[in-house]
Amino acid sequence: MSVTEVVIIANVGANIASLRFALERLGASSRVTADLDQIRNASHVILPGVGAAADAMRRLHEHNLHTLIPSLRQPVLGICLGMQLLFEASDEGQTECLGIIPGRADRFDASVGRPVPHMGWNTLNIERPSAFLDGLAQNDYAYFVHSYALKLSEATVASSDYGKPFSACVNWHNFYGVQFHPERSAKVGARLLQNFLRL
Amino acid sequence: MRLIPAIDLRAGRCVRLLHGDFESETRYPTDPETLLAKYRDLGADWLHIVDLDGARDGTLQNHTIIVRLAIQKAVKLQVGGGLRNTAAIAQMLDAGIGRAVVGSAALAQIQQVRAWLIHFGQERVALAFDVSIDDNGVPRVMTHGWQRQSEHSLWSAVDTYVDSGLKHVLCTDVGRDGALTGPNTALYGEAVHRYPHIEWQASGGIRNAHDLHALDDAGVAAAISGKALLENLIPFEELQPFLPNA
Repeated sequence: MSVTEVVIIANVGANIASLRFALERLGASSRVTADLDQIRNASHVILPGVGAAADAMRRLHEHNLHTLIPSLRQPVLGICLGMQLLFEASDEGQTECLGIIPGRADRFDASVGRPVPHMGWNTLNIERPSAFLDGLAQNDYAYFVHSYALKLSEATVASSDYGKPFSACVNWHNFYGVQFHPERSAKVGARLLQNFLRL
Repeated sequence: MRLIPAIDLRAGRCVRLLHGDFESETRYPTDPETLLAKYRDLGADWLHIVDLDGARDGTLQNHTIIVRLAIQKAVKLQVGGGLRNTAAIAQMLDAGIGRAVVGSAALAQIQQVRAWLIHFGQERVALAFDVSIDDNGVPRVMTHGWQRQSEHSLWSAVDTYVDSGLKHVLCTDVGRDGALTGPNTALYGEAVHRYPHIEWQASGGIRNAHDLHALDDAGVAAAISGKALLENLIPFEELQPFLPNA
């Protein structure tokens, strides 16, 4: 592996300890920062995120990250809410997002036996080949926690199903996204992070 | 979130109490050093050691063993139970303990504990509040090895120390501890929401990987688990995300 300088974008309200452990296991040290130069100069950028879309976007605006992130040319990985922020908008609080990938996150409809948030292990369905998904097989399991989701689109490389199909992994130019938590998804998650670091 | 294995010591041996009750003790046929090695090999970078004898009578009966664990420097230790005066804490920290966990003194000697936070530093002193949920849903702090209930809510207890740099707070729901009934994620979620700058350590009731994920989702910084790890209830692959050195 070439020298990787992974930067995890700070202040997006995420609990990132497990993510840092997972990167360390792959031999990649990571820096957590909101500094524009450090992000610009990183080999790989990760945008984590938990909580509400509006809060996360407000924090990105406070640090001028809303203009920086779309301009990045190195591989960028959005995780969970971080993936949704890469799209145009979210129904969560009618939030305008970063507008990098066409699409809008909408909320799951709760029903009997299918509570929202969608929380726990679910299977992946590979929609099209991608270096991002190397080593993954149909019906591999990943760990999800989310109430909003993206429909399948041109950007979808893997989907999952929770009452309706939704995008589990996306790729749009140099931007990648995972709706689940790779850092908490055992071997499948480790493989995805490794694939990302090799991009 | 980080998983911190717990070792409870009583008369030099590894035990677990159910709901903090000294009469309902489970003994494990493992000596503390073997258990430390097991958790180190699992990938933990911190261990949580409780001196149950100290917690009950304020003495340091298991001090020699704890120092012996600390000098191995294999993992960092946070130690609680019986740390009620400055000399006891200084002795522990000087012996190589990473962090002193102060329990009942946090309610009984407020000025003293504030001074410890400032003198030893926010990284080296954690406060532990054992709570039981009252009829109105308010977490009430228990003291003296869970044998007495105080008038303090968890929130008023934490408020007492926010100006003194308090950073690490361990919270145990007495109703869940050692009982494998699942952690009180609602309690920790509220704690994180009220005090987002505190690194909350959740203790009590962890049964499986789902409980660990739920605590991570609640935003806690560390999950402390004794029984589930001692009894190997969670497969390694499910623990790995939460173990820094795995």
